[in-house]
Amino acid sequence: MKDIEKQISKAQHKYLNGEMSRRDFIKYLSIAGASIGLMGGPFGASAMAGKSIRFDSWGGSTSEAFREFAFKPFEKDTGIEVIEGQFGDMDTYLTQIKASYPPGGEFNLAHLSAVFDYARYVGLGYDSVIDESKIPNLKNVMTAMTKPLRAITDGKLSAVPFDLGQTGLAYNSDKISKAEAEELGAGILFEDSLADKIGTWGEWRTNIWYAALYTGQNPNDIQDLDAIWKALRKQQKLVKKYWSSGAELMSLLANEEIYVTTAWSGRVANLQAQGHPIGYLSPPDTYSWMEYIFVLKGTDMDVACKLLNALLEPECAIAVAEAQKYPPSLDPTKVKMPETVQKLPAFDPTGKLEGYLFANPEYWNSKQIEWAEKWDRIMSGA
Amino acid sequence: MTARTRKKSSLKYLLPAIPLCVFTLCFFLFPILLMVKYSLHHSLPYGEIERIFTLENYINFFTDIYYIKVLIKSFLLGLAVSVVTIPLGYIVAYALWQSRGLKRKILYICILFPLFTNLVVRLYGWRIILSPAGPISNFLQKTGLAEESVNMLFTWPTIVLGLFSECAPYYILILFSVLTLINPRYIDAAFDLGATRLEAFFKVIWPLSLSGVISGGLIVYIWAFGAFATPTILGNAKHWTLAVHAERQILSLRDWPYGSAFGIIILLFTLLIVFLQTKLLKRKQIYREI
Repeated sequence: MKDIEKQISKAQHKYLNGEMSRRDFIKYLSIAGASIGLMGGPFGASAMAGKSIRFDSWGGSTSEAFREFAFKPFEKDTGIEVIEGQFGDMDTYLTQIKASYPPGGEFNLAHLSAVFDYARYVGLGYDSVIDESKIPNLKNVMTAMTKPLRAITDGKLSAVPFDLGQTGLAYNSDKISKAEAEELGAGILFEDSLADKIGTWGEWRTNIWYAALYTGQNPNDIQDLDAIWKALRKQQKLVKKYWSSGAELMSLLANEEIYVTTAWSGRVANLQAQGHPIGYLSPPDTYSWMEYIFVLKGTDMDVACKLLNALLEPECAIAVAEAQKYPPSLDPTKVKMPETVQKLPAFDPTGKLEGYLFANPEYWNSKQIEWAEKWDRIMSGA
Repeated sequence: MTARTRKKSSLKYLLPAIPLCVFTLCFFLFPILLMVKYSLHHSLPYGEIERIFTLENYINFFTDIYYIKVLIKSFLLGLAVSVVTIPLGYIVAYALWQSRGLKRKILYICILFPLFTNLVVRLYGWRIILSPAGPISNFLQKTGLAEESVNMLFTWPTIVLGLFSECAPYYILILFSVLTLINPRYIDAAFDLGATRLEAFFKVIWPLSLSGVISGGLIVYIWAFGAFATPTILGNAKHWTLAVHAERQILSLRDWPYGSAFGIIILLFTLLIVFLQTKLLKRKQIYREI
């Protein structure tokens, strides 16, 4: 009953702050009332109960890694249930958050990518303030990963960095030699001779980023936009499939439906571990990103901090890293990393992440509306 | 029977329909009305909705050649799937109608069995079968019919094939139920009057089964016109139908009013087809003939 009160007072708070209309507030109360009668709590969401927390991530091998090496031991130790959800891309997930009632209220923790997403969530008011004293393991996290987040939330944190990776280039090494791939660099995605054997993630940022590299521009400061659209239109004719999830990416490469694609470094490492002839290429200015566990407003902070601290426990973070094939956010100068982690793509032994190019949050967020729509049209051949 | 008793008795028959009416009202009509409402609002740059009355979403749609092309593409896809499913499905439905005993049971199982599996699972099954590393490609290579692996995925024929496999069972079952209504004495009479098997089919069976062909064909068309999963899984961005674009507008581009307008446009076109079909059936007086 305490949770119900908390949720209703949260909705009331939103209403009083003008974030929720009177009509929506009344609607919320009636729906909550009806659901209490039907299910014993607003929306019957067990994620709202004190002894459970919802965690949304990228599905496939990433979710499996979390389940096996983080959540199972956590649930055993604390009795707190972790309810898992999955998403395929960041924009769709943000829409789900917005569509929840009250917005964000049905979600707790999200495994988000890139600082621009952190900025979007903060901009939309979904952030919370983490009590860092309750997460002692945060001291082991690379400062290079917490700094950009703190810059957005006035020195505080609404998320803890968890891992980092790259969207690089994957190629079938039986069909394309390493030397050939390295010579082509980003141009491999626009190579005429590979027509019908090229794939790429159907996400606008990734493709505009690589079109920028192909046209010799800085992805964080594109000057010749026409050249970008021209390159992407040329690429559209060569692309066999714009994939939409990590699982699909792996299946396309494993079944040789495509020979080359933009690819998430961890998924490529997973394919390599499975014995597939897949090479990984990270040309200069490869699209790098850091991932973090974002705590959405309204989440039970005590439960969240407990889980976050457990996730940053070196034993757990390393096990998840080995399984999902993304290096952890832990500073290798503070925590000794096993060889398996050191060999992962995007691993930085210095812990400073110098030379990694991340998407500038302000730049990319300001372009979203215009570029995402344009990209959708180009992708479908307009 | 007095008027009062008649009224009472008809109310008694209406009672069982109440749950269905409530369900339709709550989970079909109400969401559609909500969509209509959303589609008449304006979307702000970051996905917020400005609750003003505007027709801009519909105007934008019908003045944007890109979406007109998508609409035509969806229409043609519906047509292609219908053209493939209607004759092929007829053959199977006819065979099912003509069969008896074990043969009919086997045919039934073959038609119904795919429906026991989830649609997405079935579509991924096609992905495996048609992939370059799949059994068809392997067979073609082994028999020397293809020199290298063959990728049949992400093409229009593959999408039509996927939709055919989805719609065919429903079409066959609808048509079969109509075929079973045909009085066998009509066919016997045709033979008695000297008709050949072909003549009996075209002059008796075909006209009497036409209502099933049209109703089943309509289901197939509507299904393919509003297809979402198949073009997404078996196709590529260039194969996206209006339904996929509606999803993109709502989920990826976060333009709910525009996405809702897409949904309403799909619904209106579907209703238009249903209207035309009803007109066609009435004109041909097909129901009366049966």
